[in-house]
Amino acid sequence: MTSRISWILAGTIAFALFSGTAAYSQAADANSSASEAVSAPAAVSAASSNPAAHTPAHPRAAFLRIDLYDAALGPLFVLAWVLFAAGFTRRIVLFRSLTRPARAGLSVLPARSQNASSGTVSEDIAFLTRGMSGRGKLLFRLRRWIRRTVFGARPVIGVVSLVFHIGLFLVPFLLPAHNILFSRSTHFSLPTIPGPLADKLTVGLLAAAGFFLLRRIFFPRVRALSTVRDYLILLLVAAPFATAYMAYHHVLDYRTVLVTHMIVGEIVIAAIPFTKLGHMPFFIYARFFMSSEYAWRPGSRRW
Amino acid sequence: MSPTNTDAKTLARINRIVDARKDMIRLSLQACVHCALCAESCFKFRESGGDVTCTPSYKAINSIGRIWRTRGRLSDEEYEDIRELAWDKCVLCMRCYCPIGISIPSLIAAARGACREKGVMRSYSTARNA
Repeated sequence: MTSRISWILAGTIAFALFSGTAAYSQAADANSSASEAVSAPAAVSAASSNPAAHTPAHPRAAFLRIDLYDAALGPLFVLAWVLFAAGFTRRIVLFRSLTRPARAGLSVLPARSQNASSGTVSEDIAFLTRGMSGRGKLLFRLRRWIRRTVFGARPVIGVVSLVFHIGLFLVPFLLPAHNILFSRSTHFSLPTIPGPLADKLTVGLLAAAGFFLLRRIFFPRVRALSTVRDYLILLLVAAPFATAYMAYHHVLDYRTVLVTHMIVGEIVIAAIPFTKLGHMPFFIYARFFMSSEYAWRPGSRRW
Repeated sequence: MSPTNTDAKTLARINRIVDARKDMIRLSLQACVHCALCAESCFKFRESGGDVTCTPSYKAINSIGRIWRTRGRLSDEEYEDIRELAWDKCVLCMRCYCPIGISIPSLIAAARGACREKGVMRSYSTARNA
């Protein structure tokens, strides 16, 4: 089962790379055929804006190229999100069906014990912070809160993981270029962050991904757990951001990089509920509704 | 793969144990990102000076994970390995924590249940067993 999924993942990555290179060779074909009459940059813009301009020379190639770009922009995008929504919903339903409300908690104790324990923590803090200034009290509470979360338990991996996941969520949704495409089709757009900031977040994300990769290779405890799938999934997540960075800075052929970026990104979106990326919905539960050393706001299950 | 030595009846009993928890096992094994952040929560891991096979997720993946993937068709030596992981390297103290909330003790308890059906378990009759 493990090897089958590895093969599927490897196949999708190979397909994305192949379709990217196919688009590249076709773009190069169109470019060389048109450059006899006009200069190269004009040919590129003509090829991307007006498919009819070069169809007589390379009808099949042009059809394939336009098809791939449009397919990635339209149906494949919708398909990816439909797969994502279906799988995501199924995971949440399954998770909730497997859990019960936590029976532990103050409410199960006798009234006497409940009264004895209520307010103890705030009284303790009041005792420990007596004589401090307002700012000192705030800092004390902040430090106490941080110490009890993942940042206190494992600061380095906590911060790197936070940078990685912030980039993962903010950049794709708040990128100006994505929102232009989005508002074109839906007349609705999210607030955007400046391009250079998105660029920095992407670099941070790629650096964090590199850290995770090195950690997986050199930390014995992580290495013992790692399988081919773990490396593939890390590369798969980093790939849309690496290609986005290349497209933003016009490294290699722009259109090839862009088509690869779109297809790899759609593969990642569709793969989220069916792979280890499916830990996404559990973030909310584990960080805010369970008591744990890694929680941000300890609580108990109520569903 | 080494030959299995489990008759059909035992396999059926093992799979009844596993199937009763199959959604939990599948969801947990799929959601585990192999981050090894659970390592330090295990006192066996700390006491052994960082023995990687004492990492809670390693124990879960290599006990119930193997039984789950092979539907219990494992050789005697492999069951012996699982016995070591599920009994000798884990005391089910339930103090391990997972950053995404997987219940690792539930997984190891399921592995123990499946092993007992096979007759592989901790024996208290001999003095030296650990």
